[in-house]
Amino acid sequence: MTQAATQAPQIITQADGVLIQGSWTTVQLKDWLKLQPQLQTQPSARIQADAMDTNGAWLFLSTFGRQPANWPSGLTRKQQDLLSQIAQLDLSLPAPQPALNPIADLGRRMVREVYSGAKLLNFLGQLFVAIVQMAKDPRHFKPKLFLDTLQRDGLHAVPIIALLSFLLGAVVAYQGGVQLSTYGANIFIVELVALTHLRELGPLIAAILVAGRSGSAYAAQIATMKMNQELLALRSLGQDPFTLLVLPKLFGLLLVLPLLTVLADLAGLAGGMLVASMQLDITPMVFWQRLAEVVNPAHFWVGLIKAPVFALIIVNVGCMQGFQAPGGAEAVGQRTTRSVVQAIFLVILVDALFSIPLSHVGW
Amino acid sequence: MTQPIIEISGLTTRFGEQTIHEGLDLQVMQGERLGLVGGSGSGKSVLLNTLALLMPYRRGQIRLFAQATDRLSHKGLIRLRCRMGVMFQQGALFSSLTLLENIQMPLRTHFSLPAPLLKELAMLKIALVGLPSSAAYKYPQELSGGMLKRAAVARALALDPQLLLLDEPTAGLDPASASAFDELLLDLHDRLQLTLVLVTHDLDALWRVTDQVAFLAEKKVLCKAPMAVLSASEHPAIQPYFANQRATQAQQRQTRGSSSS
Repeated sequence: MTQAATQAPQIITQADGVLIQGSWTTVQLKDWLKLQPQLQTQPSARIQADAMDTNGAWLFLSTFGRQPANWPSGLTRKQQDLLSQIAQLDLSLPAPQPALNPIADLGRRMVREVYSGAKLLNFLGQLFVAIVQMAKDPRHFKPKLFLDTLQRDGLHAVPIIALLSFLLGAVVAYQGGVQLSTYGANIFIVELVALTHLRELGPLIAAILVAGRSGSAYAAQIATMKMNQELLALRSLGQDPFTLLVLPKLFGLLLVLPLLTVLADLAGLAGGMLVASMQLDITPMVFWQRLAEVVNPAHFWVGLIKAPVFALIIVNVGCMQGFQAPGGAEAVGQRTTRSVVQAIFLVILVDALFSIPLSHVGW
Repeated sequence: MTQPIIEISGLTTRFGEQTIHEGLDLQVMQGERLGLVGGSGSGKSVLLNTLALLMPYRRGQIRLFAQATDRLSHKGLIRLRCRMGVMFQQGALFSSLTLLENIQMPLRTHFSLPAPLLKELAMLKIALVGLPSSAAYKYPQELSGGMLKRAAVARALALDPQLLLLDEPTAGLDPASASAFDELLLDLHDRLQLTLVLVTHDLDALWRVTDQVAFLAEKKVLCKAPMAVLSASEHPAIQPYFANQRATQAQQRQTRGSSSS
């Protein structure tokens, strides 16, 4: 009876007729399928089957038809019962759902993007309402959650932001240095590194890393809480999820991201300084002096002023994606990914927009 | 010809320092409908997963289909897995696949069969567990709780296993669906000569579906007996489980049901 002892299908021609031998089981399906054309020409054969399961029964029915009269003889009572039970089942396959045509699908995606932009503005509005409410009643402010954000999203991000900015500064200096040295304009490496880093790369790298590290964590945390109905539980206990989950993150990041930007600026300059002294024979002392002489501090402020805006974007996108998550565990991953993509997209977009009004500052 | 389909002897499982089972023995005969019960944390699900060879164990021996399982080759292990179906508590249907694809998947992986036949066999399983054919193209998220459980059984049955392991099959179902699910299990057992092992807290299901119940406590199987015997047990660990309001009512419902029918 066990499947291990299952018998391979065989068609045996004997003196008194044809014998179809073998187990009608899942394991043997493939072999039966090969014999199917031959079997169909043997309606008067005898059958000897030591086992039959539902998959085998189905193949038997599709070979010999649903009418018991057409079945070969020699089936056991049990096998006949199984076969007639399965023959009675309605197995009509429903028509597959038609796929959306590509143009309609594109349209649907576009509309969805527009809606998600609208949702973002909507969420921003809610955020400001929550801030105003908190300003009216500051007792609701949770210092512990705020400090948590400072530690997790600020302090713990220091090593990775410092390292990556340092490397980026070094790379920019190295690539620029090669070009500058062919003109003998080595000393301009200071302007190159300082301007690119203070104005653009410092704030950008800090914001992108924080979006990847913290924005995704916000989305995952809130989406998981939503899945567990924790958000509903909070509201039923008279707590506002917004004040508890969003505002501490917003205030924390508004403070921390500018600080991380300054760190990224410094680390980038250090990377540039190292490459300048090694490759272009500009000592750190000379580098530092020239930095003070020629680089207008306004460049630094242009970079720094963007940081709080980036912080707002990251918190807004991350938390919104979390709150928007439908139930179900798979939504958590999906929302996390989307929050990172959207936050980085918006950070770079806003950075580009900033560069228009700020293009003349500091020059 | 009943022979043991599962033989466990001296099984010890441990999570880190925590011992779940120690020297556990259990024997399940072919065609049995065994319920695994025990208080929360008594290691019912762990035992089920260990039986399904999905969890390592420290000591002891598990023989399935009269085969030792500890020194199996990769191929032998796959062959053994094909002979048992597991239904997980949350269904564990793959969320990126439709129901039809979910059921086809085990067949597709282990046997290279033509696509139309795969589809037909999957539809056969859908019909066998009593789901409407319109469910075939639905994704697991779109199915209701009761349908999801049936769908999970359909996938577990895809390869026509002789042994079906079920983890809390009726948990979270409304009484009507739970009762219908009990009947489905009995029907499948009857039609396909299945051996059932189910972990459950559902006393009605225990009375209705099982013919043997193994009570897990003190890290082993304390007692394996039919429900009627077990519920009359005076053992201090077993008695509180059955000597309470809900258990008594479930028993009354069952005895009333069987005497009237």
